[in-house]
Amino acid sequence: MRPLYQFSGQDSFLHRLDPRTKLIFVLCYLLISFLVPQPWVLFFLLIAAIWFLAGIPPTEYYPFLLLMLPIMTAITLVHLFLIEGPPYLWTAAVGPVHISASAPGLQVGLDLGFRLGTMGLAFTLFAMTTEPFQWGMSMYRWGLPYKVAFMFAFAIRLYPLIQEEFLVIQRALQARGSNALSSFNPFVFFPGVVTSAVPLGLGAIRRSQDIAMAMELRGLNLPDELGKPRVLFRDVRLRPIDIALMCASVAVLVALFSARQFTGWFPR
Amino acid sequence: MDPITLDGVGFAFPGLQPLLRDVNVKVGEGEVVALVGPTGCGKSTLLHICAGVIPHFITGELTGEVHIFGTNTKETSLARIAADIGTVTQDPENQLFNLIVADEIAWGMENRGFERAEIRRGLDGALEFFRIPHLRDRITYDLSGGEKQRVVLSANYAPAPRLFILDDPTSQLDPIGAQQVLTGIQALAESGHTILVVESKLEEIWSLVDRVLLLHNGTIELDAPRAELDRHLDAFIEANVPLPQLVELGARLRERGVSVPALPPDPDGAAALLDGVRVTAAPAHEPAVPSGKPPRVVVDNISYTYPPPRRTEALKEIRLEVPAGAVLGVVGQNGSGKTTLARCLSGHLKPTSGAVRIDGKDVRRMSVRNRAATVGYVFQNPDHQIFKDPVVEDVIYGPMNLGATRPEATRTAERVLRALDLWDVRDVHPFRLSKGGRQRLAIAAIAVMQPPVMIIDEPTTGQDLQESHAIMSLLVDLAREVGQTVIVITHAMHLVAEHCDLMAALCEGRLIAFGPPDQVFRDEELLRRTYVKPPAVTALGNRLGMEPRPLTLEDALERLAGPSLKVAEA
Repeated sequence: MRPLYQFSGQDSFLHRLDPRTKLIFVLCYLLISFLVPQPWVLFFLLIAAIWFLAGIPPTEYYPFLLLMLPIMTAITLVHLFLIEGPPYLWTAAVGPVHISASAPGLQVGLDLGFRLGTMGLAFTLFAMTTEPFQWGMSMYRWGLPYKVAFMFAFAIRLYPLIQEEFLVIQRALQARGSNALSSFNPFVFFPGVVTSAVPLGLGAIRRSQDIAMAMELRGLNLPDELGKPRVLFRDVRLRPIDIALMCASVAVLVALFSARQFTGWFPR
Repeated sequence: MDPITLDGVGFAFPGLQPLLRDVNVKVGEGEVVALVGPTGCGKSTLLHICAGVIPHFITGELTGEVHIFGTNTKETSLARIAADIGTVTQDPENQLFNLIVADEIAWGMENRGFERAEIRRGLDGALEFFRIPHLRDRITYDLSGGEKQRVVLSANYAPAPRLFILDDPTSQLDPIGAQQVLTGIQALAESGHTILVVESKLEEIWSLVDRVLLLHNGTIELDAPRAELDRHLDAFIEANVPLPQLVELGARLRERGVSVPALPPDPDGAAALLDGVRVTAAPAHEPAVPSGKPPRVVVDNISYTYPPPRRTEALKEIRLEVPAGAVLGVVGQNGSGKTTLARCLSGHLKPTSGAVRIDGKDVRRMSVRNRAATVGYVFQNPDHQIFKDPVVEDVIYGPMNLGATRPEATRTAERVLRALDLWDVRDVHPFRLSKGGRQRLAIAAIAVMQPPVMIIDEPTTGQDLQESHAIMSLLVDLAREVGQTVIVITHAMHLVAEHCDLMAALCEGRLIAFGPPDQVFRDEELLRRTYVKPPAVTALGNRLGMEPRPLTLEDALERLAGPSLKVAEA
């Protein structure tokens, strides 16, 4: 299991696509999930796409799925009990209070839960198949200042390190007799988070100073000093397949939106 | 134009006493100069001054003149100064900014405005020079420590700087990683590059160094060619800086009036010079823990395989027993299974098969609280274990989690803090302590819970010799006085030899040797499989057939400086 949202470093169809293509695809996919009446199909379609087009089976990112499960369940339950029926799946009376679970509530809850899951999964696809520096440099190509684009990519590069550090801190807390970070009790868990933030935060400050110094020494500011343009060794360029996929994503989105808007093909 | 000229240089951090004063150094073209000194003496600060980091990035009061290739660093920007210098620091993790190795190496050249063809040539050249073309397309965070540091060296080498400044680049690496990096530094030295290096393992770069600068009491107390260092033993002892063990042995033998030539740091070379020597007999090492005591820790045939997708079989059928009051050193190459073993011992991991029992109880069946009370675990980086402010609050945090009242916890904390020389700083913020102080605090925070077993991961990383021995002596005292079983994971073989009662060597998840150090260190061939080398004096003892094997420099000195010594003049 790799840390969540970490680039998988494989070579596949999805990995080879330009980050901009994937970004547009992901955005269109998210909007489509709000247009179609069966978002669960999109959720499972995405799992299949990650598996077969990127070569990453769900076992590689199951912690993310496990993380989503209670959130999706909570959303479903809230709607199940708050939205009125009929038909009702179950009713009960506790004194003057009537509690009921309705079929429309279940439907709305499941739809919302899967839409949220699809959203998370789409960004997971993007993160696992996109090398952060390709992403940063493609944003640089689209006009973002180099340092901003580079730092943005570098922050993603640091993410697995911080996640690893967090696990060490969690074990260190256990060694001191505290299991706060594994507790389901919010009154235990959140103070534990605050306690663990001390070493994590101070470590991050120290690390960022060292990194900033090392970047300076490797010449981050030299192009500005010399007034020479920066040459990118590994340039990012859109290929025909990228342009085709971008156009296809937008076209499908527009078509579905039009179908829903003007023909009533999809129920609201 | 000399690469480095420091003329009357002094430096003080804002609001603090001067750290450096009247430093005068010249480093000539093609020279390899080692800078040594005790922890906290200002070595890194001096390197920062040479690299232009001071005054441009780190501020303070800098006096005197600093010229790099004739340019005054105060009058030039950091970016321009750094363009001529390759700087490598201790932690490779803080020097890698890109995800792919090729991008990392190309990045410095991109910043210098190289054309794409030049970048390609520089990249290929650097990969070849440091013998890492196979890493070209690898992800940087997947590399081992040694590989990462070689990538950092390559990235600094690729833009062809004229000077290299290396700040203890092997200090955070395991033996094989350090060896890989030292090979890289050797290649740099042999190709005529100018190098100013801080290296804690002086014996490892002994043959490369032209001159050694000893920084002590804020100034350069000694500037001598390598061949003359053993004449200045007093200066090194005074500064608490170790010379290579065998170099020091030769010097101290001569001090005692024994006629021996200067000894090289390698045991083979030294043994050849001491060939035919008669050694004073000595009684066998007395075991500190009497045999026949019931074991406290029983590792019963454990194996551990990491879950998918990693699936690495990290431990294979490990069996060992450690009695109460014993200090066990666990050694082996990174990836040999040391940390996995420690995590199984502490109950953080459940063995795939077998069991770990402490005083007869299965560790995995204990609750988090019980485990914390039974097995204390001190992690490698003390900064990951500081949760409270000030020092005393951090120390009582553990006992209070285990149910102690504040007065009870404070009483125990006082005893531990006094023993660890931290009582006077009990009201200070932990992050204001030195690295050694924070390491002692991490040990105090676990020791205060009085667990029967304590596991300490690399307790002496980044510490100087005196601090390392102080920490190890403290752990030995805990074992002897309280009857704790102390398990130390370490790469420092001289500390294992001097302080541990038992040692366990792991290789690819298997226990390949277990027993008292003077027995285990005999089989150098076996230990080589896991990149473990005995301390130089013990290795010398192996070559000279000394019985029992000397484990410390003093041990070897007593045996070789005896009245019956006969040494042929070289």
